[in-house]
Amino acid sequence: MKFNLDWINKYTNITLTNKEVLNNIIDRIALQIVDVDERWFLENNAVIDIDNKIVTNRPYCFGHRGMAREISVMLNQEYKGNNYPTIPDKSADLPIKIVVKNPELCPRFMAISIKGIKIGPSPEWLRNALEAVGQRSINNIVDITNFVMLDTAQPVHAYDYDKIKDATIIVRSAEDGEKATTLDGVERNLKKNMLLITDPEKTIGIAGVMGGGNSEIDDNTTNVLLETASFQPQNIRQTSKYLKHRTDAATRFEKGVDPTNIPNVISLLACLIIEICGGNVASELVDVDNLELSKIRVKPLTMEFAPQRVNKLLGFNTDTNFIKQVFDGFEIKYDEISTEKWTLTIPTYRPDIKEPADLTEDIGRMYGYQNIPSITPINRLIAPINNKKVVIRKRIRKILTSSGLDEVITYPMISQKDVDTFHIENPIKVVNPLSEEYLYMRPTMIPSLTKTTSLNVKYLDEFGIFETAKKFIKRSNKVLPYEEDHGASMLPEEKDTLCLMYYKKSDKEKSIFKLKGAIENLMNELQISNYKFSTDGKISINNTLVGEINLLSKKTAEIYDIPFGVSYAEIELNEIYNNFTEVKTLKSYSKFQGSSLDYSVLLPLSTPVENVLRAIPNNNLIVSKEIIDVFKNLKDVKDKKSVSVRILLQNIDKNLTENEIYDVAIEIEKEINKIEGAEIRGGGVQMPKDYNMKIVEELKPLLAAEILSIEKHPNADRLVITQVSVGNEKYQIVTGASNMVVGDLVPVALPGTAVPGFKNEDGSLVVMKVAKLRGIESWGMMLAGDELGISNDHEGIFILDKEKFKVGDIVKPEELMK
Amino acid sequence: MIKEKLDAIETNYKSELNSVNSILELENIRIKYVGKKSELMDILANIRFLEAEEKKEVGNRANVIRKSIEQAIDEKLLLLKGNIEKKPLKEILDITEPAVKNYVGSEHLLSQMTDDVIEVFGQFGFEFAEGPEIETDWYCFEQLNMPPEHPARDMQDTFYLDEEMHILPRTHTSSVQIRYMESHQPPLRIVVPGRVYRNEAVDARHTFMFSQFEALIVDDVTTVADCKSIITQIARRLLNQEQLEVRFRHAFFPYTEPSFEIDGTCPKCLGKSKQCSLCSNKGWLELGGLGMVHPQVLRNVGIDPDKYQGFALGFGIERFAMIRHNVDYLGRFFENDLRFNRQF
Repeated sequence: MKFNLDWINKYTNITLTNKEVLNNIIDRIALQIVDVDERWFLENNAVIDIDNKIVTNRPYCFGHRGMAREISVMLNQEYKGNNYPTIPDKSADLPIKIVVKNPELCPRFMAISIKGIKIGPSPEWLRNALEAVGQRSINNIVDITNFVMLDTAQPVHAYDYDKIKDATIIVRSAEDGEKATTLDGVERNLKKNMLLITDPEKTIGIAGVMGGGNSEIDDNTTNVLLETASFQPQNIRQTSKYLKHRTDAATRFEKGVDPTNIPNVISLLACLIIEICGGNVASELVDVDNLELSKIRVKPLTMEFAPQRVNKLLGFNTDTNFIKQVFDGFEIKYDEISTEKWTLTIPTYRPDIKEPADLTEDIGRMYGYQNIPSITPINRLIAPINNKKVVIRKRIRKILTSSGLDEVITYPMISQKDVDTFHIENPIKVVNPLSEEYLYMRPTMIPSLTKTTSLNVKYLDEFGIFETAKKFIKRSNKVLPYEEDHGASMLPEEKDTLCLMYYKKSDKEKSIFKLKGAIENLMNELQISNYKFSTDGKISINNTLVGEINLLSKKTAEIYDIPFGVSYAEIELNEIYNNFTEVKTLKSYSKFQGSSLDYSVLLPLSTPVENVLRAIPNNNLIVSKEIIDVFKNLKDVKDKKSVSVRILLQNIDKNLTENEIYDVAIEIEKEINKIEGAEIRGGGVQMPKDYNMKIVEELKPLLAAEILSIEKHPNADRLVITQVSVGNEKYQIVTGASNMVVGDLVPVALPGTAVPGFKNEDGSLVVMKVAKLRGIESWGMMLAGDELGISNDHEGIFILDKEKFKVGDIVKPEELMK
Repeated sequence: MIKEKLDAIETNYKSELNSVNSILELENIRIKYVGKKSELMDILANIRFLEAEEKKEVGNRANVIRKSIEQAIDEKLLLLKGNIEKKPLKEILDITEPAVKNYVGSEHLLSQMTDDVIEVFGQFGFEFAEGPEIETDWYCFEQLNMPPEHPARDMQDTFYLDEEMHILPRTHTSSVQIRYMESHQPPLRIVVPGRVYRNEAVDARHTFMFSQFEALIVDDVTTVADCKSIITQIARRLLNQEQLEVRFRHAFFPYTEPSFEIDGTCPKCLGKSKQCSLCSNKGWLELGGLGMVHPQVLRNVGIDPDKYQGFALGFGIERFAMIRHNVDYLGRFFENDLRFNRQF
């Protein structure tokens, strides 16, 4: 909105003629000056262009008089914008009749007729004034109406008196389907509640928006009917919005012009016309006043005001004299009840002032915002709590970028093509979309990233991208009436989601496994251990489905112009939010030598390689297990693939013994061999040939053995070497007992048999192994009473009753107690 | 006698020095051969008792030996101190060959800027808050003092998701103010970064989606002057320019009173250049809007405006990123041409 400073000067005592003064004003006025037209400085005049939205709540600022008031209050100068001429007495006769049918939409309508005007060019001062603010001069009458509006902020209209049937104006609401042609020659469709200016047979204008062509002033016009009215602002706004036609008049009516100033404005209008175009007042000044019925403020508003609140809000001391000066300038009356409490009377031209805070603005504005000091606040120190979601999303970005992916931010709206291609169900449609490309709020992020990929494949052969954002899912819940929940039940579900995409030209495997690697890194770094990829690409955390990983189908890729080799993953973050542990705590690790077991396992092609890992039994010694390689297209075995798996063994508190490694290896091999079609092809550990055989699959029972011979131990006086038979097998057992003789039947625990009477410190069974006693191998032991768990006797071996037991019989200790 | 002694010293130190493996051993050798109480020093000290001719001969020789021992010890010391491998690197390999490196991706510039916003405001005690991106008109407009017919709604061209125009992608992050104040009592201080949507055609300065950050303080003391100080410091940190000053211009927003537009001095030229590409020689750049929370907004959420006050601000994150990183048009942030994204 442009203002001509020369014009403003007429209403102030200030002469704004040079740039320095102007800049000072601009600084003081704190207005957003869009532009200063340099051209006008040459003619000792300047034009300032002010962004409408700065003054949108202050209707008086839409005219030069109002702007002059701003400046004169600011500079504490006399304001001369309240002067209006008086209409001469009626001296001709062109009667008029005004009927207002919708008084609530038209609270005031004033009109007068002028007879015998002469249409012609405007005088120079008028032309200059209008052209300075960008208004083209048309003819004297039209120019005057424009001038009056730009001067007072009150739109006015002049009709050709002779084109109005019966000189009667009827203000009424339109009917649905009615049409009217406006001044610009456009036929417009009307709808109910639009306010029309009509005569008994036709529509001559759309109230507050635009006049009609059929009542327009032309070169032959000699008599005019002048209108100055007040219309309900919201109604004008709706009408102009519906017609998609914003006029200068509508802009001003929307803000709400002061209805009490209408008599002044119509006087000004009539006087200017008589002065410039000639003619005589030819009717009474008609005033259809329904102000009492309207919602517009028509009487000054009284309110209480606490001057100290101003300082409390602004943060510095304005003195009360300054406040009074501002109030005086705006003609706000104040009555000082006490120093803390004033009663104010707000004039009708300030509908923006509704409560004391609005006056704080006026005082601050006039004080000059550039004068507001910057004071470092003294506040309670509170360290804000870290928001978990922010922490997680930030970590996600750090981890994924260090995995080599780039972050993108895409528009959350997708097209019909996206919906069709990705078989998206039930997306939320935008009622007034910007274009077909952005028709729906996305319930999945995959189309957005696909489009981003499509853009980048043009110059990159390999890249990965990701985005964390919201996706929007339509709810199926019951919608409550708006009055009950203000729309809360209509809101869709918003899910924080991570979407990833990887492109490797012509290499779908690399692309998807890169992506899988990035996700695994992410989960590990976020300390989420219980995640799983199912064989069909579903991703779950703690058995809750959170997303999927997959290849972009060839057909979809084609549609988006992407070469072969794209994979994607989409993961909802909720489960990650729930399972994330922000603080990592130390997990102990061993300082002792570990050992790794590598196996290469042949698997049927269709068996998931992960089955090998899953087969590996839990064991305290296993620190980690991973698949390090997968070979397909083997030369020798066509129907199988080879999987290399590495298992790391370590004791927390001591070095590993060979036997420990052997035992774990045997366990692992046994379990891998259970996988259908699996075969261990190599690897593992080299162990003594018979080690494998000596460890028996399940615990063996105690057996009754016959002593075949007893020899002295060569290296120990208290030990003897016995040979025993359990029927078809013979074993050598070294023992310290001496109560048995050759031919005795004794209970023996062979390797793989648990000793019933004793437990290890950790509670586990003591299972016999082949051991060397003073250099001589011993295959198990003969048992005394305590070792059998039936007595405390440790004096000698329990000799079995030959009547009850034969060689090779199973010995059950509980039976011996009878 | 003395000559034999010197001969012995000369041969012994060489062999002993050869077998030295540590700096400590070397120090012992230094003490043994050239220390104050060493044999050599003893010879030198007693030289005055010799005949003139012998004195000269022995003196010269002893000093030569002393120097060579000291030199040998110094050389050995250098060697022990890590100059074990004396071959120059270029004889071993060509370091100008390409490095072995993993590609590290880039976080989106807006994410980086948003992190900075959260961090800087965090230093002032602002806690992070967020809310839904799809909002009701109740939270986005109504509670912010913008009833359906309020002209201010025109300022924010809105996408609607239902015919009744109740559900919409939020046009600003201010809706979170309301949601937060409904469930929290003053004193409160929050920062709310997030995506917002406007039904506007895309051009160099507009996109239909962009990011804002909202900050809100409500307590019983915070004034416009406080707000000026806080925003000055925050703008300085975010734009990486400690000399930056701000100015307040009058503005109108329905949810604040008084309201201001904030300009910052151009961080590139500080208003001193006649040819600044960043500020087009204006010296000032528009940063965003703020104001004291409107009493009606406080009333709407059940906070007594006679007791509490504070400010709310809403700035564009892209705007800050554009200023700080010299980004020429808004659309670049959402094109996702990786040649752009990877630069930051």
